[in-house]
Amino acid sequence: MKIMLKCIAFVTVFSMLFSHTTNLLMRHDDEANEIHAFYSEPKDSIDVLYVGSSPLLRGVSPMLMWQEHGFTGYVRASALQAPVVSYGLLSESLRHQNPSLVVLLCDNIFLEYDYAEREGDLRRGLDGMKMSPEKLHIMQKVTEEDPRQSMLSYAFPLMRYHDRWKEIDLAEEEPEPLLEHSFKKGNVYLRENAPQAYQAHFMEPTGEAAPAFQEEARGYIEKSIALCKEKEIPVLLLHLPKMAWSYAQSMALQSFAEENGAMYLDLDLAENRAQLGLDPQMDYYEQGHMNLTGTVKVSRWLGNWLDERYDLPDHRNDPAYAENWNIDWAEYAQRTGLSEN
Amino acid sequence: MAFTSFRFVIFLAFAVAAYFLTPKRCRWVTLFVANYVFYLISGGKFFVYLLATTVTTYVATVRLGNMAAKNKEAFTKAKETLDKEGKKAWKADFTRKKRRVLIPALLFNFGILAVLKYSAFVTGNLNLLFAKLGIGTELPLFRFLLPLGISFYTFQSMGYLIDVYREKVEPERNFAKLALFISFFPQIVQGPIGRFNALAEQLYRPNEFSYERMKFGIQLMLWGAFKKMVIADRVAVMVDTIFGFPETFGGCYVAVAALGYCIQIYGDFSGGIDIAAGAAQIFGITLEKNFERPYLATSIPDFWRRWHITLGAWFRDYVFYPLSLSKFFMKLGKKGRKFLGNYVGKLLPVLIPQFIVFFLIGIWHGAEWKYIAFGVYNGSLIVLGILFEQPLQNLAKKLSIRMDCFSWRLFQVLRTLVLVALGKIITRAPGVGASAYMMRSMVENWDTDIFFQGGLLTLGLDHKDLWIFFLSCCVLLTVSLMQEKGIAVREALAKQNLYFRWVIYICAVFSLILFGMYGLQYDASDFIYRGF
Repeated sequence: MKIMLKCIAFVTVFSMLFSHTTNLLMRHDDEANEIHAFYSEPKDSIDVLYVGSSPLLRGVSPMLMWQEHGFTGYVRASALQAPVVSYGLLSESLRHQNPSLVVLLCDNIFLEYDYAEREGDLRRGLDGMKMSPEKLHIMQKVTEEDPRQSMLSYAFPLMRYHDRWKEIDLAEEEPEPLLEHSFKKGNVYLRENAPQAYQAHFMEPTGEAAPAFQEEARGYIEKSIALCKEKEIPVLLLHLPKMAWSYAQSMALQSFAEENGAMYLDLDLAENRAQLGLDPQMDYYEQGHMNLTGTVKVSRWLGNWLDERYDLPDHRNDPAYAENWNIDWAEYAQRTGLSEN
Repeated sequence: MAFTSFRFVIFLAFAVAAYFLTPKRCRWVTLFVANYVFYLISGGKFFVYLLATTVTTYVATVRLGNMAAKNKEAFTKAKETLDKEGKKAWKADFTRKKRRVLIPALLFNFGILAVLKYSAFVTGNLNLLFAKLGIGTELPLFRFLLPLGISFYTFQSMGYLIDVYREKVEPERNFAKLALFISFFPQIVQGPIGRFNALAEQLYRPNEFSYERMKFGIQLMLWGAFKKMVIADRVAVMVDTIFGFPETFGGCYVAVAALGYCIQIYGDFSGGIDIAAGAAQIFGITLEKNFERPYLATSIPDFWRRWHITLGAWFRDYVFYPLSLSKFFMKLGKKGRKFLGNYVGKLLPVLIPQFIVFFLIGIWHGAEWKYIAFGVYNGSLIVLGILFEQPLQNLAKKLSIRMDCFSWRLFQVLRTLVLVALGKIITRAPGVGASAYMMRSMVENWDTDIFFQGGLLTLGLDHKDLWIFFLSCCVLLTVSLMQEKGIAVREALAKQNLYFRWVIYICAVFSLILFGMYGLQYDASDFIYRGF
């Protein structure tokens, strides 16, 4: 009995130190923090769930939609999110939440995903996820594709970041655990502006064929749509504004959405662009991402569009939601400067 | 399955749990199953070679055992009727009969080892020779993948076979038990090479669980992992850089690489042995010692008594003594005294077998000319050491050199280390030519840039890594000196206060986690946003 108690005490002390060291050495990207903070949202409290790559992260503000329409939302996005990660995040999220709409960003359907080259991006998506069957599946897939990486290092990130002590000043570094609650609801906005210009004949029909879908990505998106259908949740495939996009790609995704019984919305199509009122000189962080002013324009337009087409509730007068969401909005508005508008 | 992998830790945990949860009389069966599961996971299809060695060893030893029993019975009946010569003839006849069983088994098993390990080397060199002689024949070059631990389990099982032949041990008649002895998973990968009379009983008996033993076993495994992952794998970066470009580096760089490789190979090999011994200790099994602070040796023979002890002992018992005590070498000694004088002649039956043993040890290390050169180098050092031992002692007396003081011992240790390090250059350099070039350039291009012009930082380790390496070596040296003084470190630690012990344990584990060289090394550039 005494030995057992000693072992338990030792393991407890060791676990605490291990956790502290992990916090100290682990990289904390915004994506990992936002993906992790999702767990603090009360069960079945999210109305619109957004999953996909970084354009969502930068370009969609659930807080703004809350303020203007009263429905809640959360973005679980990360830079160049692998299709397997998107499917895992969606699947895991749907065990916690029962949203009225799932929005998937599917631009990566055209992309050959190089797992060995994209370790940093994979970790941005995975390091914030709690251990779950979905995470385990992603870990298996990643380590199968890139044998240099290990399951252990995804389960215990310290195993990956263990020699980061060489690059950081431990005397100055404050241990930062993953974020527990986010007022941004997954929207990691950027303020810098890089003026852009549309290429000639941007999004005009040219008759050229769209690049082929990447089969693995297509498979995971189809599985995502099927999962939502099974749970009777409508799916919107979304394309957010970016400079490197074509009419042919848009049409290919439109057909894909129709084949799979989902809706497709492309904000780069001429009629939508006209309504959005984006200024390429002012609203882009770089060619693939909105900056904050672009985010506000996109989110306002998208909020209206979603509110008109889907049966999304307005919780602004519901005390169960309003108290927390208004506190978060106040913080968000103050940080973004939207409270001054 | 590498000993320092998480898979091995999980496997060991399951094996230990299964072993102690099994009823006592069946525990050896659990261990036997664990061994074969380990081998199948790690060695896969090569398991058939292990099985072939086990079957042939079993058949041969049981046959030898039966022959010995029958011979004993017959001899007991007949001995009254035999005179001294008759008894001698009987013995010789029986030895011949036993050899008819022993030799095919030895040839079969060493044959497998030779074909798998050396055939490509032999045929490759024969083809070179044919080409030089203008013979138009080209032998096919077969390169085989080596079964896991083949050099170790072959030597272990053949040692047992010879022991049965010599009637030093009774043959094991239970096939599964023999298979357990040959395949014990902690030692099959890199030794130590076990002896049947020391190991078998420990494997077959139902060992009781002991918390103390488990604690000591884990401590030894941690220490082994520290030596391998923190010291050996770290200095390997620097060593690989220098030995990878022998034409680029000269002078002190070669000296640093040689010393670094001495530390690397010791940390790697003895670390692995410590992990094996620690794992075995958890089961209640004590493996034979394989290293005894070799770099504190005062001479080359002393070094070989401390380095890979079980391999040296195997060659001593199964090669050196049979050769040295053979009629041929006895006669050679007598003849030698006539032609070479009493001193050298008397030593001949020792010198030549010693040289042969070290030549074979060289070949055992690998199928390349550099290993043959390594064997010749060590054999020559041993022979010269024996030959000049007495004259040098006489010289030291004449020069009034005190040989019972620290400074002399330090000189001996450093001298031995230099000779060992030169040998390591032979085995680590890409080839014999490269090692000769490196040794030459070490002398001819002697410069100290590596220490004063930041050269040390250009070899793959930054200054933080070098500090970790230096401090870890200090820990290793401190522990080695304590052990040399007869202090049992783990036992001494066990007598300390709980809090102190926990601090030590936690520091040990975290030093492995934080300073161990494993997985992908962190590089911030892997994590920058690219391509969106």
